[in-house]
Amino acid sequence: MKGGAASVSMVMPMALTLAIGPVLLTALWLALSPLLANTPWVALWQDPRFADATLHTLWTGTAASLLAWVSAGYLLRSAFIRGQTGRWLNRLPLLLATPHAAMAIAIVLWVAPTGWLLRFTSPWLTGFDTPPFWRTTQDPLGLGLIAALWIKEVPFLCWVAATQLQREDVRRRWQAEFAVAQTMGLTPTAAFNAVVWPQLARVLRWPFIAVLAYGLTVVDLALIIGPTAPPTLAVLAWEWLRDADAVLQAQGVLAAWVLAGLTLLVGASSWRPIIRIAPFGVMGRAIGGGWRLLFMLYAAAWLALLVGGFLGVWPFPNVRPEQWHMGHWGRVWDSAESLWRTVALGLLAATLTVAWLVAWLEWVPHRWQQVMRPLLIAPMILPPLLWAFGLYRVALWGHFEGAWFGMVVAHAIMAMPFALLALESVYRASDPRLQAVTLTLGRHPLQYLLSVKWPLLKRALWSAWAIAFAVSVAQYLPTLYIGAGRFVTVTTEAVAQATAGQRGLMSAYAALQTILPLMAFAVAVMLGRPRRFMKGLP
Amino acid sequence: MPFFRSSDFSKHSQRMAVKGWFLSLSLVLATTLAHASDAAGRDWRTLAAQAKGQTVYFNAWAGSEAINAYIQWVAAAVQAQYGVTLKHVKIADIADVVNRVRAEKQAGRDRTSGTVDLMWINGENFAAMKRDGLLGEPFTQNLPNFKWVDTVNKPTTLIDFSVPTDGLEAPWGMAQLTFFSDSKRVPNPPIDLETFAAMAQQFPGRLTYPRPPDFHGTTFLKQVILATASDMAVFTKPATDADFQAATAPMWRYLDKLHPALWREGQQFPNTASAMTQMLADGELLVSLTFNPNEAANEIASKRLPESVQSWQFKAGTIGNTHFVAIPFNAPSRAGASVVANFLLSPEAQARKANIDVWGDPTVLAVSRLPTAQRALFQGGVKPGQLTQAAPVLPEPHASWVDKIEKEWIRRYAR
Amino acid sequence: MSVGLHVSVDRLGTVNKPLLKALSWSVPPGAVCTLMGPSGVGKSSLLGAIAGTLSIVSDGLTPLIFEGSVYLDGERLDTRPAHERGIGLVTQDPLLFPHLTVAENLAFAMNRHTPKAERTQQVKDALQAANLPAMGQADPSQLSGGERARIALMRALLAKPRALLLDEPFSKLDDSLRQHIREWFFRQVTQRGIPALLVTHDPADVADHSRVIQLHHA
Repeated sequence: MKGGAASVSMVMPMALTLAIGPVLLTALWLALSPLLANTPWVALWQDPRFADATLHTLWTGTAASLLAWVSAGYLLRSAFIRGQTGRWLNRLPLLLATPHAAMAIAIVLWVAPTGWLLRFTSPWLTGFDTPPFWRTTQDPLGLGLIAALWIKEVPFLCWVAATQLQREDVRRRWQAEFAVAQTMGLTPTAAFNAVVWPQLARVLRWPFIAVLAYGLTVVDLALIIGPTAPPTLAVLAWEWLRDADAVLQAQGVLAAWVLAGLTLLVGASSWRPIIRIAPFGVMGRAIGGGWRLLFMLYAAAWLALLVGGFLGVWPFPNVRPEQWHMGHWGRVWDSAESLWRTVALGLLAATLTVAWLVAWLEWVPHRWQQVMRPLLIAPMILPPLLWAFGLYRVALWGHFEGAWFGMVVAHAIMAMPFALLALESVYRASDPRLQAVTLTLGRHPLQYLLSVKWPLLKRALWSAWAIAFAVSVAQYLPTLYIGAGRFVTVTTEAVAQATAGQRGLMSAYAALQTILPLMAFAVAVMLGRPRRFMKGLP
Repeated sequence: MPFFRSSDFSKHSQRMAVKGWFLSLSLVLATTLAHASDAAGRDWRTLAAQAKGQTVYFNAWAGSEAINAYIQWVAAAVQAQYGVTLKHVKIADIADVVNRVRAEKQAGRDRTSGTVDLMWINGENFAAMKRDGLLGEPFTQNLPNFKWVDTVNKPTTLIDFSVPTDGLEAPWGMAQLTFFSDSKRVPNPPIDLETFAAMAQQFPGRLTYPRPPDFHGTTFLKQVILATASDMAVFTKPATDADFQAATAPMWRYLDKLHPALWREGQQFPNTASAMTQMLADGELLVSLTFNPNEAANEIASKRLPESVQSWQFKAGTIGNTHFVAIPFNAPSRAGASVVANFLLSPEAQARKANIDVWGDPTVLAVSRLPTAQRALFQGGVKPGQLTQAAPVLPEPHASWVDKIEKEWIRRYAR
Repeated sequence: MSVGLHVSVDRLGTVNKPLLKALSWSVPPGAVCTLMGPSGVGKSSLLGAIAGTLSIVSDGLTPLIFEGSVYLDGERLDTRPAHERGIGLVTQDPLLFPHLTVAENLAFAMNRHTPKAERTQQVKDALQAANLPAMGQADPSQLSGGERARIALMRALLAKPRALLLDEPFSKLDDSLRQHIREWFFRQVTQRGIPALLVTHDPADVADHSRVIQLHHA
C-alpha cells in the first residue's frame, strides 16, 4: 500500500537506495582525492591554456543553452497557438534519437571547407577551385560547437515540454487560460507569453540546467567540432586525464571539478532569470512556425551521414565523388560485434533504469524521494568526466570493470536522470482515485499496478525506456573508461573515426549510431500507443 | 682423462691428448646445447600448451582500416594454429592503455588480474611503463621466431628511443617518417626542411602537420630538431633543461617562421595524420605524412587516394624506429600473448604485413637470413605510390625529450 | 453484533484538527442510509475511512486519521486493508478505467477464477440491467454522464460487495435523468439486500426518510 502510514515497508526504499546511493557517492569520493593535494591546484592555475579554455567553455555552453531555450520557446509557442502540438511533438522522438556525436559529424560534413555546402556552390557561386581557407570546422569562436549543441538541445527541451502538454488535463487547462487571456484583448503571442509560458517554463527549468551542464562539460562533441586552440576546458581536462604524468592527471580531475563548479554557478544564477526569458519574434507562416525548418535541418544531417558512408575518392569541388566506396559499410559490418554489443547494452541498461525508477516512484515515500533527488540528477549535472573517472575507480575496486555488470550499471546510472525527467511528473499525476476504486472492487494493490496504473502510463514508460536506450547508445566516456577497452560500442567507434578524420568510416558509424535509438523510439511509440477502441456499436 | 706430463709422453701422445680433450669438450658442449634447445623447445611447447584456449586481448591503435583487417587475419591464424582467441581492443591512443595498467596497479590488481594481455607500443610510452614497473618479466627470449629479427642492421629493434628493450617488448614492424603528395600538383616534392618552408611560402595554407601530442606531429617536431640542432650527441642522453634550451632554440626559430604560412596560419592543426590524408585526398592540403613508408601505396590500393600520389623522404634522412608489442605485468593470458607475439614475428605474418595490398608495414626480420621458401614470401613488384628512394634512418632522441618538446610546443603555439 | 453495517466514529481528522467526532449508527441489509451535511464537513472522508481508502485520497496533504470501528455482519473491518473489506464505493466521478472497454470495465470487478463463460454472461446481464445492452465494446469516454454512472454502479455491484457506499453519484446528472437513475440505483441495492450509505447534498436524493444522519463540524 502506498502512503505515509506506519505500515509502509522500509525494505523497498532501503534496497533501492542502497543499490545506487553508495555507488554514486563512492564514485564522487574517489574523484575527490586529487583535490586534496596542493600541487595540482597551482599547476592548473599556471597552465597557459586554462584561462582561455574556461572562457571558451563558458561562451559556448551558455550561448548554446540560451539559444536553445529561446528557440524551444518559440517552437512551443507556435505549435500551441496553431493547435498543432500533437502533430509536431509526437514526431520529436525522431529528432531526439540522433546522438550528439552523429549530429556533430553531420554538421562537419556540411560546413567543412570540403563539405557539401561549399561543393554545391563551387565554383559557380563562390569561384573556388580549391577548398577555401575558411575556418568553418573547429572554428576558433566555437560557432560550430554552439550550432551543434543548439540543434541538439532544442528537441530535448521541447520533448520535456511535451510530457506536460500530452497530459489531457494540463493541456485543456492551459488552452482555457489561453482563451481567456485572448478575450481580455491580448494577441495570441502575448497571451501565450503571459499565461502559458510561465507555467511551461517552470517545467523546463531542470531540463535547461541539464542542457547547460551538457554544453559546459561535453567532451566528444567538442572533440569533433569544437575549437582547438585552446579547446574547451572539458576537452583539456580529458587530455590531462589521459596523460601518463600523475600530476597532469590530478590536474585533469581538478579541471573536471572546476567544470562542475561552473555548472552549478551558472545554473544557480540562471535559475530565476531564465523563466523570464520568453520567446520573442514574429511567427513566420512560411516555415511552419519553425518546426519545418528544424525537421529539415535534421533531415539534411541524416542525408549527409547516409551518403557519407559511401564516399570514396572525392576531390573538391566535385559534388559527386569520383569513386563510390562500399568498403566503409563493409568495415562497419565486420565489427558487427560492436553493434550487437551496443544494442544489448542499451536494452539492459534501459530496462534496468526504468524498472528501478518505477520501483522508486511507486514505493519510496515522497520525502525520501525529494532528499535523494539531487543525487539521482547528479549524473546529468556533474561532468561526465568525473563520473567516468570515479565510476571506473569503483569498478576497479569491485573487479567489474570491463564486465557486463559494470557497464550496464554505469549506463543505467547515466541514463537515470533523463528517464526521471521523462517519467516523474506523469507518474505522480496518475489519479490516485483509480487505486481507491480498484481496491474497493476487491483487487489487490499489485493488481492495480499491473492492470490499471502501469497500462495507463504505457506511453510515458516506453518513452522513458526509449530515452534511456538513446542515452546508453550515446555514452562515450563511461564506455571508454569502465569498459576498460573491452567494450567497443558504435559510439566509441564513431568518435574514434571522427577524431582520426576518416570521413567514410565516421559517417557510416554515425549513421548506425543514429539508427539504433531511432528504432528504439519507433518501438516505444508503437508499444505506447493508446488503445484504439472500435467505434460505438460492435 | 689423459693428463700431460711433458717429460713422459712423446709428441704423438700429446697430439692425441689434445684431440681427445677437444673431442670431449665438444661432446659436452653439444650435449649441453642440445639439452638447452631441447629445453627451449620444451619451454615453447609448454608455453603453447598453456596458451591453448586462452583469450588474448590485444590493445592496438585502430585508426586504420588496413591495420584492423590485418589483425583480424592474425586472429584467424592464431585460432587455427594455436587455439588462441585473439580479440582486438580498438584504441585511439595507447596512453589510455598505459594509464589503465597503471590504475590497475594502484588498485592492487596484479599477478593475472589485469585487463590487457598484449599492447602495441613504442617510444615514450614504453619508457614510462618500463620505468614504472608495469611490464613484468622479459619474454622475448622465449620466442622461437625472435632469432630471425635483424638486430644487426636494425638496431632500433633492441633500443627503443635510446632505452634498451631488455626483452620486455617484441619488435613488430619498422617505421620511418615519410611524406606523400599528389605528383600532379606537386611535381617536385621538397626534400629538406628549407625547401619545405619555401613551398609553404609559395602555397600558403596548403601545408601543415598534426597537432602534438599526436605522435605523428611530435615526430615532425623531432625531425625538425634533428635537422636544425648543432650537437646531435645530446639526444642520446636524457634531456636536461640546459641542453633542451640550447638544442631546441633553432627549432623554435624555424617554426616561428614556418607557421604563418601553414594551414589556418598555424593557429590550428589537424588532429591526426589520417585527417591530413583525408584533406590531401580532398585537395585541401598538398602534403601528408605517415610513419609507414608504404602507407600511400596502401591507400592507393584501397582506392582512397588517386594513383598519382607518390611517397618521398628528406634526402638527409628521416626519423625511423621500430614499433613493438609488449605484455603488461598483470596480463591474465601471458602464455597466449607470448604465442601471439611469436606469431607476429613469423615470416608468414611479417610477409603478409609487408604486402602493400594488405598493410605495407616494413618487416623487422633479416630477410636475407631466412630459408629460401620464406624469403620468397617477401618478393613483390613495385606498386604505385611506393617509396622509390629510401633515405637514411635517423635514430630517435631519448624518450625524455618527447615530453619536454610537446609541453614547450603547447606553451608556445596552442594558446 | 447483528447483521448489517455498524459504524462508530471516535474521531476523524488530521493530527491537529478533528473533522468529526463521537458518531455512530447502523444500517440494516437492504436499507439505504443517507448522510447529509455542509460541504467540507468530512462526508467523503468518512466514506473513505469506512472503505479503507482514506490514506490514498488524502493526496499529499496532511494525512487524515480515523479512530473508531466498522463492523459488517459481525466482522470487524477497519483493521483490514481496503481490498479485503468487501465494501464497494461509487464516486461522483464514475472513474471508469479509460484503457478498457465498457465490458472489460465490468469484467474487471469479477473474481479471476470465475470461468470465462460465466463472466461473459454476468457482463451481459449487467449491461442489460443498466439498459445498455449494445455498449459492451464501446470506449467509456463515448458514454454520457448518466450511462457512465450506471456502468460504475454495475461494476461495483459485480464485485459482490457486502456493503455499498455512494458518494454523491447523482450530482453530475441532469435533473431529468436524476429521478430515474436514482430509483434504479436504489432498486439494485435493495434487490441485493446489502446495506448502503449514500452521501448527498440534495434532500431529494433521500430514499428512506427514517434513516438520515446530519453531520456537523466537530
